[in-house]
Amino acid sequence: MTRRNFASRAAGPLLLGVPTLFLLALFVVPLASMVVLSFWRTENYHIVQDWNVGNYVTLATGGAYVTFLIRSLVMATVVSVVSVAVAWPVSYAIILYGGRYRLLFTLAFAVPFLTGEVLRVIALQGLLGPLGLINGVLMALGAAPLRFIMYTNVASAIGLVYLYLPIVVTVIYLSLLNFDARLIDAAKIFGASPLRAFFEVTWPLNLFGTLIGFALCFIPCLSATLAPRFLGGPNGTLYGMAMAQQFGESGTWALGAAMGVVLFLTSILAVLAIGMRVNLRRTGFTGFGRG
Amino acid sequence: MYITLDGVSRQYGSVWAIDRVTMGIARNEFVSLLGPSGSGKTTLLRIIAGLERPSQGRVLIDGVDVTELPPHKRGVAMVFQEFLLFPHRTVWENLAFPLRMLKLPAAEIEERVRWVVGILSLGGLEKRYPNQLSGGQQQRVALGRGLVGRPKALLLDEPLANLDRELRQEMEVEIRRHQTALGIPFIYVTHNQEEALSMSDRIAVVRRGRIEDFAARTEIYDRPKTAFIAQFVGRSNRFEGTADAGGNRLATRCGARLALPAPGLTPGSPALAFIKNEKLRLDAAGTGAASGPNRIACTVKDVILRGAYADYILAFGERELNASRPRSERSFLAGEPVLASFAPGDIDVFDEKGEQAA
Amino acid sequence: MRGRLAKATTRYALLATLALSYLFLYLPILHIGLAAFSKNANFPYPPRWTLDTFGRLFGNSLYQGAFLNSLVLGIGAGALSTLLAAAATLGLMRHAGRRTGLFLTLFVAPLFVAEVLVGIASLIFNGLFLELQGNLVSAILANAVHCFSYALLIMATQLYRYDWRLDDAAMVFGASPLRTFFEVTLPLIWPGLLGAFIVTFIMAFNNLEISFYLLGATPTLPSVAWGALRYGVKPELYALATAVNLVVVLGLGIMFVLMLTGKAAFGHRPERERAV
Repeated sequence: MTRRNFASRAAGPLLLGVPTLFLLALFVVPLASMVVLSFWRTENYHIVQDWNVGNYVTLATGGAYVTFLIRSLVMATVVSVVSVAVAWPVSYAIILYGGRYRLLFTLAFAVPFLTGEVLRVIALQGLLGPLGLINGVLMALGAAPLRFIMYTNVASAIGLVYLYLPIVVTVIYLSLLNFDARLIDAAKIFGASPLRAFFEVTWPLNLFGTLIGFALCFIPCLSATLAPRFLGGPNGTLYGMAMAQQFGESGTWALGAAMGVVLFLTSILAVLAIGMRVNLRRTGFTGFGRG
Repeated sequence: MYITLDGVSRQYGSVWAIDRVTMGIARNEFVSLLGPSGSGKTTLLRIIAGLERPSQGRVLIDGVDVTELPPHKRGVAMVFQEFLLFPHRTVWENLAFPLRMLKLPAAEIEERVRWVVGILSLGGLEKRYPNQLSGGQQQRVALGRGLVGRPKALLLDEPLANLDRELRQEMEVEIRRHQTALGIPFIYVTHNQEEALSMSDRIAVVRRGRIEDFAARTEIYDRPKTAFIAQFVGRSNRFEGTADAGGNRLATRCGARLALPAPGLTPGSPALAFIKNEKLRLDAAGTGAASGPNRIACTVKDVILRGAYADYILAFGERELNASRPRSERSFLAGEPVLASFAPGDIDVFDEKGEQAA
Repeated sequence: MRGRLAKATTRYALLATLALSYLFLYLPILHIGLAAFSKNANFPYPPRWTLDTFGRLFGNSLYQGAFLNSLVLGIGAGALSTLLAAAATLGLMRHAGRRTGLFLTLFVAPLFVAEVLVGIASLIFNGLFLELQGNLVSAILANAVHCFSYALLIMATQLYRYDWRLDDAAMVFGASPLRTFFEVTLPLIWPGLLGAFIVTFIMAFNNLEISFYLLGATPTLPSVAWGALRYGVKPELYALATAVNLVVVLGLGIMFVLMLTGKAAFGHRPERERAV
C-alpha cells in the first residue's frame, strides 16, 4: 500500500473516530455513570455502593420534588412558547427589512447569549430588582414598585426568556434564511391570500427549525438553576435548583444523580413527544445530504 | 383584447426596469416575451401576475382593471423556472392546491386532478414528493399545477431553462398542444429564440424595459424591425459600412459591397446590414463573376455537420462569415474556395440608430 | 385599499416587535453599563461619572486570578472543541456516507442535554469513578463537550457550500492529501474555524453551569461573580459584566467584519437576496 493510499483511507476513520471517542469518553460515559450512581445511596456525605431504587422512591413520594418538576415543566413550556412567539416576528422582520444589515441584527442577538448566565442574571437584577431600573423609575415618578417582578415566578420567567430568546431567534432566522421565499409567490399566484400562504407554505416549511429552537430553549429552561435562584422568590424553587443543591449544601449526590436521570429522561421524552408528531417529509426535510 | 397592458412602467430606484409598455393579448393567443437576461421580461410577467406593482400604467384582464388586485385575486396561474413545487406536499397535493384555494368541492377537486394527471401522463407519481421526481417530471407537475385551476391566463417564466435539450423540444410541443386545447392565453418568457419561434403566435422582443417589436413570429424572424432584433433573432452575418451617394449601396468595412433592394439610406451615412446564415448561397469558385455587389469570394475554413444541414465557417480576408446550407445541396470541404452570394431582398439594413432603413 | 392597509399594519407590527426585543435585551445591559461608570450606581440617572468601580475591579487580586483562569478555560475549551469539530465536520461531509445521520445525531446530542447535567455527570464520573479532583483541565474537557456541538454547527453551515471537487482537483494535479489540506482546504475553511473559536471561547469563558461542578477550588470570573452575587449585587459586578459585554461585542464585531467582507458565511447566504 502506498503512503498516499494509506493517508486517504485513514482520513475518514480518524476524522470521525476521534470526535466520536471524545464524546463517548466525556459525554456518554459520564452520563452513564450518573445513571449508575442514581441506584446507589449517600450516607453522611459518603457514597454507599448498595444497589437500590430508594432515590427514585424518594423523588416520587417526597412531594416537593414532584411539585418542583411540574413547576419546571410549566415554566419551561411557558418560556419556550413565549420565546418562539416573539422570535418568529423578530426573525421575520430581520429577513424582510434587514437588507444588508441583516447580519448585524442577528449578531446583536447573540451578545446576551454569549455573555453567559451569571452576568445576564446580574444585568436582569439591574432591570427587575428592588433597586433596579423599572422600580427605580417608578419610585422616581412617585409610583409604587411593581411587586410581581421582584423575586417571583414571573421574574424567573422574564429572566429565562431573556437568556434563551437569542438562541431561538438565531435558529428560526437561519431556518427562514434557508427557506425559498418564492414558494410564497407560488402559493399566492395559485389563489392563497397572504395569511393562507403563510399557513400553507411558510409555517410548515419552517416548522422543523421552529421545533429545534423550541427544544434548545425548553431543555435548558427545564434545568435552570441560576435564574430562579436569584430572580425567583420563596415559591420559585425549580427542579434544576433543587438538583444542584444535592451536590452542594446537602451533599446527597446519589439523590442528585437520580434527579439528573429524571431530568434527562424528561427532556428526551419532551423532545421525542414533539418529534413524533412531526412528519419530517411534511416539513420539506430532504435528508442530511448536501441538498 | 383579453389582456391589456396600458402604459405600464416599473421603476427601481432611478432605473426604469419597464418603460411605458403597451400591448394587447388575445384570448387564445400564445405570446412570447423574448429578450436577453436583464431586459425586463420577467418583471413584465410578474407585473401581469400581480407579484410586482407597476409604478405607472394599468393592467386589464378580461376587461377588468386588476392593477390594484393582489396576485391571489387575479385568477392567473404561473409556471416558474425553478418549478417551485411545494416540497412538503405530494404531487397530488401540489396539483390540488389551486383547487383547494378556489374552495371547490372535494369530488370536483378529485376529478380535475385526475384529469390533469391524465393529460400530463403523471399517473403513478401522485404519492411522490417533488424531490423524488426527475427534472422533466417536476416540470410536468408545475405545468399541471398551472393548468388545473383553468386560469384566465397561464404565465410561464423560462419553464424549460432547467431541462436538457431533448426534453425541452418534447415539452415545447406539449405546451403548445395544451394551449391550443384549452384556448387560454399563454404568456411565455424566454431568452431562447428557438423556444419562442417554435411555440408562439406572436413574439414581443423586449429590450431595456421596452417592447422593441410585437408581431407574428414569421414577421419577427423574416423582417426584423430593428438592428437589435436582427442581431438577436436567428443567426446572421453582420456588416458595418457606409452608404454610397445613391443611398442604395453599402460599402462594408470588411471590403464587401452590398446592393440594397431600395434606396433608403442617407448618402454617406454609416449603416448596419444583416444577412441570415441560411440566406447565404454557396457555389463553387469560378462559376460566374468572382466579385461584384452581393457576391463574396471566400474559402471554407471549417464545416460543422448539424444533421439535415451543414454550417460553413468561411474566411473572407480578416473576418469570418457563416453560412448554413441543407445537406441535399452540393457540399464543400475545408480549404475549398467558394463564392457566397445573396439576393438584395435578403439583406436587412438599418441606419445608425438601428431603425429599419430599406 | 384593504390589502395595502393590512400590509402596512403587518410591517409596523413586525418592526415594533423587533424594536421592543432589542430594547428588552439591551436595556439591562445599558443600565448596568451606566451604573458601572457612575458614583450613583443604584439609579444612575443622570450619572455622576467615575472610573473608580473599574479601578477597584481591576485592582482586586481575586478578580485578576479569576480572569486568568477564565482565559485559560476559554482558550483551552475553544481550541479543543474547534479542532474536534473541524475534524468531525470534514469527516461528516466527506467520509460518513450513509451513516451521516447517525454521526450527526451523536455530534449534536450535547445541545439537547442541559449544561448542568453535563456538569453533574462529569463531576460524578471524575470524582467517583476516576477519583480525580476538579481542576481547570477537567473544566476545559467538560466545557469542550458542550462547545463542540456549537462549533460543529458553525463549521457545518460554513462548509456546507464548500466545493469538495476542489480537493479532488488538487489531488489530480498531484498534491498529497496533507498538502491539499494546507493549500486548498485550510485557506477556505479558516473563517469557519475562527468563527467557531470565537464563539466557543466566549461561551467557555462565561460558563458557570458546567464549570461550577468541575473547577474544584479554582476561581473563574463567573464563579467569583456567582459567589459575590449571593451577597447581593455590587457595583463591581456591574463593572465586570460591562467589561465582558464589551469583549463579547468586540468578538462579534470581528465576526461581522469577516462576514461582511465575504470571507465567512456562518450560515448566512448573501446571494439569496430575495428571501421572503
